[in-house]
Amino acid sequence: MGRLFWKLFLSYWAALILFAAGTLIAASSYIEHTRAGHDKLDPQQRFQSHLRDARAAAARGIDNLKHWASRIDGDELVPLLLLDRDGHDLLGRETPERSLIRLQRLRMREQLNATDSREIRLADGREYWLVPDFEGATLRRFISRPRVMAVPLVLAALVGGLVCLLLARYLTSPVARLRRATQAYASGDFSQRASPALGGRRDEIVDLAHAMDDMAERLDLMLKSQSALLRDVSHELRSPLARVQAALGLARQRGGAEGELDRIERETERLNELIGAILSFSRLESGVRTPARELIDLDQLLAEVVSNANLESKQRQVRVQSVDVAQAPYLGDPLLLHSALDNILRNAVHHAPENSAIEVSLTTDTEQGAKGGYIIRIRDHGPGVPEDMLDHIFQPFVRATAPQAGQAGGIGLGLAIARRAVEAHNGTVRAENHPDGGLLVTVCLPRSE
Amino acid sequence: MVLQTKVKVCKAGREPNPDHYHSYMFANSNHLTPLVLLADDDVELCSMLKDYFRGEALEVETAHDGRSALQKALREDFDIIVMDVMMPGMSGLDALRALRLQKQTPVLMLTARGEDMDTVLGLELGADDYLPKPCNPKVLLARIHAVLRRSEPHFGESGGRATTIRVGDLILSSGARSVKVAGREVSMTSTEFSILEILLREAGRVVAKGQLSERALGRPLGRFDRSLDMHVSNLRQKLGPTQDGEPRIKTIRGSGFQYLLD
Repeated sequence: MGRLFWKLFLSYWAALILFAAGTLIAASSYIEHTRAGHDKLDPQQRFQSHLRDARAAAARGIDNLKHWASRIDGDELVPLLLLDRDGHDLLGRETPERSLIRLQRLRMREQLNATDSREIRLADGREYWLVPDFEGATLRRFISRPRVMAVPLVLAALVGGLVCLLLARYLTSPVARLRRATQAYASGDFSQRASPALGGRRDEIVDLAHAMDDMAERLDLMLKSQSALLRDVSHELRSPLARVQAALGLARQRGGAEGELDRIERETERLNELIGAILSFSRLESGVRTPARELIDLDQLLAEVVSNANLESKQRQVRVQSVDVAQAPYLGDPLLLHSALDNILRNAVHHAPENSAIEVSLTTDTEQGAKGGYIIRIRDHGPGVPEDMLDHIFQPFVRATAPQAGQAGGIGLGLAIARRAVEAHNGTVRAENHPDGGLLVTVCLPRSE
Repeated sequence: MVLQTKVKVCKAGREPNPDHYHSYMFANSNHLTPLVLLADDDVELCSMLKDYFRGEALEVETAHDGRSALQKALREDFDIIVMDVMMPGMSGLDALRALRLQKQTPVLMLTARGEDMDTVLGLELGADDYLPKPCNPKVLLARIHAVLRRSEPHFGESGGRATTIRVGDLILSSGARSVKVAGREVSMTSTEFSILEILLREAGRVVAKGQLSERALGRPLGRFDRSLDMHVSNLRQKLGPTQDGEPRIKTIRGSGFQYLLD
């Protein structure tokens, strides 16, 4: 059994005991009080004083009598009934059989001895008799007196409220901390640790936090070693690749088999590109490189990317047009941004059909007001991407369509690199299918402070 | 970051034209064959490249770590040093830094693919050019020839004749390949010299980046190639501001560079 169990158990228990004790104390003090009142006057005198009060009230009318009766009903433990000739109570209270008998006895006695009268006569001639119902002093009557119950109720509300408040705070604040940590894990940040923020607590929640921290550490390690493996493999592949290229050069010098050598050279280049892309990607992914903060002209950079793409797309009869390119000074990493935009545009060129245009636009993000950054939109007129793939195309080596035969295709890292590069600037990349066909990729770059 | 770039085969063809480089005048005693120092820790690669370059009429010496590369470079006069950045012990960058304190031998750096910071740092330290490794030996050969061509005293721009250009307090003599600012000799790499010579010939006019790359580096401007910017930034630092405190070379955003007339 852990500590939290005992804390919950004991605090509920203590709250209940306090409530019960408060009720008992209030009840006993009330009884003491009533008894003290009884001690001052003997019951007969008390009754006589009540009778005098009742007659005084009756002299001022029936409403006053009713008012007095309900007041005294709230104060006195023993119900004092005001019965008429037929045994009906003035306040409509139920008249028990014993009280009717008592009333009859009283009236018989009055006829014998007029001095001991309990009759209360109203101005309009109606008559009532004040009859105490001693057996009516029940526990139910006791606890239904609001004055009696007020003290323990308030006490219970205060004590119970305080205990519950502290308990709820005590339980939910570490849970909120755990939630923040899990959210961080979900967004890929495994550096968060939940347990240090919980201080010197020692209970089930801290145990959970420790377990979660262990899990995060393991996951972090696994992910890191996985990407490290990819990086190391790529790194190690470079030496043999360089030797293959040197050997290729030597083979060419000796001449012959030109076709095969061309093929080997092309494939070596592809391998080379792939390795380079993996290394760039893993460097971005691991966050080793903090992005530079240089003042650049985003419009200029985009124009450069567009003109490069135009040079390459000429063979495929695709036109890259820049539309609505505004003046855009921006504080960021030119190399990263260049590679991001370049990769997105290359992807668009790759999927654009022959004789189609790719529209590129750069606008200021007016939605965020003066603090808004820039929005870059790149839209092709290609086949688009299946809706369920839209979120996945920014993951490494995910292709929306199977590469066509005979076409080399991309490396499968371009968009992943683009997303990491934009995210390094706290920006976002989103892909959607344009209503008129084609893929629209939107890059949002928040203004850097 | 140069990503997914198809390495473009530069101007030099598969069969280099012997006349092309036999006209160089080389720093080493043998005036006919350029002498290359190849510094790379991959011994096998070095021996293969050595064979390859010998077939292309280049004399090659090799070194397999930064320290021995530096010693050889300081002891002998090479026409060009091809230096891998990643070497055990003393790195290529450290060797380059130490070399530049004493010598302006042209250096072509081999940087690891994707390590763009190495490229920037290398160019800042005075490398003449860089090439991501692994690279096609044809491309490496073309780059070597481009660097060799511009380190030759009678390189292109002056058309083989020794000329002197004077702009303000700066004097450039193409024959001696020397630059003086207010009478003080400024030492610079051959690439920096070539860039300065072109900018001075066009002083007051804007020289487009693409044009400058073709004329000074001997290759078309690459995809987001920062090397020109680095070379120009080095030049600015070496030349210092004009007497009015203005930078001598102005960057015209998006178009190119301009050497300011007084």
